[in-house]
Amino acid sequence: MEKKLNKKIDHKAWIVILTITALAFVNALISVRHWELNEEISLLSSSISEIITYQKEKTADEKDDSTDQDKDKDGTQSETEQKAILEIKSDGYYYSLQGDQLGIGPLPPMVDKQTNLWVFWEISSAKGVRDIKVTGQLPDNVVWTNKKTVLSGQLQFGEVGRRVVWTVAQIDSKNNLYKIGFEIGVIPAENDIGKILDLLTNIEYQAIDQYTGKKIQGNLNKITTDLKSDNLASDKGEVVQ
Amino acid sequence: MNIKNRFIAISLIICLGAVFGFSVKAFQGKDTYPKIANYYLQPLVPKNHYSGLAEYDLLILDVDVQTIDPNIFSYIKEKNPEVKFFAYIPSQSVNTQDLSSWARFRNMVFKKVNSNDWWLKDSQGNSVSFSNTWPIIKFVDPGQGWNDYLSDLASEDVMSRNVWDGIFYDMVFANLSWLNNGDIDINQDGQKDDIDEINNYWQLYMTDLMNQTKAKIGSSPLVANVDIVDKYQDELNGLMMENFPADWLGENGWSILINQYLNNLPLNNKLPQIYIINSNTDNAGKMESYRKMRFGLASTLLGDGYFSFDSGDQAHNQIWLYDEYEAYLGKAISSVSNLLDKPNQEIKPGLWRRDFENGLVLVNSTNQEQMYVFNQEEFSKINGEQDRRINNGIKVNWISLEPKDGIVLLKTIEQVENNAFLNGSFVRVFNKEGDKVKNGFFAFKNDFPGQSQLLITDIDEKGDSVVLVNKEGKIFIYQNGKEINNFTPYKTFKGEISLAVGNVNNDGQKEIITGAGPGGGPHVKVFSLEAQMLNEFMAYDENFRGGVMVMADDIDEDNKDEILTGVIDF
Repeated sequence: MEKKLNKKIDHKAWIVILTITALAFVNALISVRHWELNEEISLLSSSISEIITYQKEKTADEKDDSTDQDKDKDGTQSETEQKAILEIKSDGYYYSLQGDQLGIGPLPPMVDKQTNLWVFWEISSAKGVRDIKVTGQLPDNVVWTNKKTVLSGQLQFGEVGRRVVWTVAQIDSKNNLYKIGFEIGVIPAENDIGKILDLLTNIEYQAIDQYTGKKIQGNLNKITTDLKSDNLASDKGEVVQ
Repeated sequence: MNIKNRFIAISLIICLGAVFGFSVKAFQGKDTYPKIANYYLQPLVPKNHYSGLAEYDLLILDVDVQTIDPNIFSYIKEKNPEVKFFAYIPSQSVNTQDLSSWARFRNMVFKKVNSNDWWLKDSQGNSVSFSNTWPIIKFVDPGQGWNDYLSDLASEDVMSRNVWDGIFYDMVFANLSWLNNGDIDINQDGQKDDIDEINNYWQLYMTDLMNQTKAKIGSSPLVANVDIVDKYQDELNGLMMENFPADWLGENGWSILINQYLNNLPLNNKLPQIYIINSNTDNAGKMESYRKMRFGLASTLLGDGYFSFDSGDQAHNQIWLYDEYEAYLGKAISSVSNLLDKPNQEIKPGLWRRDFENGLVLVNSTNQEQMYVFNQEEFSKINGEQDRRINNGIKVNWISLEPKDGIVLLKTIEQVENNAFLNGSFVRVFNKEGDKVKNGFFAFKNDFPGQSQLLITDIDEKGDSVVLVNKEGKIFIYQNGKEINNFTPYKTFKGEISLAVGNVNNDGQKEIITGAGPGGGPHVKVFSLEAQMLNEFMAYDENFRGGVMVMADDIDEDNKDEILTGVIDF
């Protein structure tokens, strides 16, 4: 690569390529907000960067059924082994916090010109869950550019239904890189001037609680041209001429 | 040309060289872009300009440089072996301003013309000067022996030194209608001659000068700063367009000159064809005239010529280097097209585009701002240090260009080749100074698992890339999406493996090199594409368990890659 880049990019300079894992990259991007919910999963849709924690504590009946193996030496119940945890983040970015340009096109978005940005989904914490699935819907005026990065699981886009689907079958404790990114774009029309446009809607997650076998599900905030988590792009979401 | 004819042609060239006492080497111009020239006419070149001059692909230097400091050629050649030198010689005048001893060639010519009284005269018998701006430039009557004399000098005193690649004749005018209010007395009868007769006489002897010079310097190129007259072109390899886009040509100046540059001149000029477009600040001396520079450069990039930018025709002696000069566009891969009128190839004001291996150039030659949205294409602006308003390094999918402006855009890269990377990782590209030379990107191959180590390479150097997947102690080889082989370099070691490729035996294809990571021995192995182990060795003490990182590079430039190993735990 070095030889090729030397030729292609700058024949008078050495080229050094630094590879930065998406882990460090995305971790640096996202500020953490945290909710803890007991027994029931609530639907949260009030933030751009969301983390949902599902903790399942054993009921009194379940505690009665527990064996000695579930108890610590002093005989108390070990509850940490019995909680299912699922934290998912979803955000849109044009620039990384480190200044890398991820998206392309005018910002604020301009009529008749395509603006692309990246959506990142991350399972930032998970325990006792399997078959995790995150989905989102592309509005009709939003295009899937087919640029993506997938560190874990499977990412698919259904052309007909215009749905983005990310699935992770199992959480491996040795792997803490459960994250993906994909690029989407929009070409605003004349009647979009002054509006903030939806880019990815109906963002839903679901998983199976391995302790109870029950389905966990909820919603995440939609992604719009108002990229609140992107310090360099925030307040540049309204379409201009 | 068949072999026999080619042999005859080569023999003729060699014989010409032998007759005139200089070695003949075929002129090999650069075929990647941009190609930049410096029209540097100050004979006494300051030493601190030497290294700057070495940045250019083509240098036009005053002919007296050959004796003022003959070492300048080797100095610049050492820094830039591909540079081409052209000897600047006025074709029909003598600069009488400074006839100091260092001006050997100029003195020699002056004395010859003076002793033979070859000066061009007016009706009063006075010698004719170029203009009020340059009264010290005295015109010569080319019809009295000057043509034989100057063409002899070009071959015997200039090219014979084997430091020049070609001759550059300045001031090759098509007519003298503009000179001295038409007061010229060719036949020296004390009467102002008819201007048509003067012009016919002038063109006759100028054509003869071109013919004689070209015949005497053989295959070495002859380039002229010239009025565009068809009859001169047959003996020329090309020309310079000074002061481009020549405002005095009016609103159509750009179209007229670019049409000549792209369409007309190449039909008549000899091979190899060499064109130099000189834009300048009209003697304002302002290097920061970025828009003028871009307009000239971008216009030049529509064709195959060299671009020069300087202060102006009163002092061509600057070393002005621009961010655009460092942008490596590679070879041209298209002809030009007008994005405002695509099917129409007529050269006229428009938004013109030409594509290169690594980017493109756009020229807005209209008087209005032009906006263009690329269709499914992305480019990077140059990440420069000068005009950051334009060259700010951002990725773009549309562009807006001011009137009479141009821009160089570079292709974005989205794949790492010949180096291992973690699938899905974010990659940045730096130069040796640590400047980002390209926008970062996610290196991801959709057909392979995220976080697995991949190495994409054209291993047999036949154009088809293979993907090496390094996962859990095993190397998988994929081609066209199918696994064609796999192997386990270390039977008992299941840790991380370091992976590299390199042509270690100069057999025309790369080999696969592995090193055991931390916990394994210092065991380096070399495998073929067919997964056959070709060699193995211990890079460090056999008890070392710190892990070995492998790399490959042709350190000694013997066309065989050496294997490099690195350790952290030393």
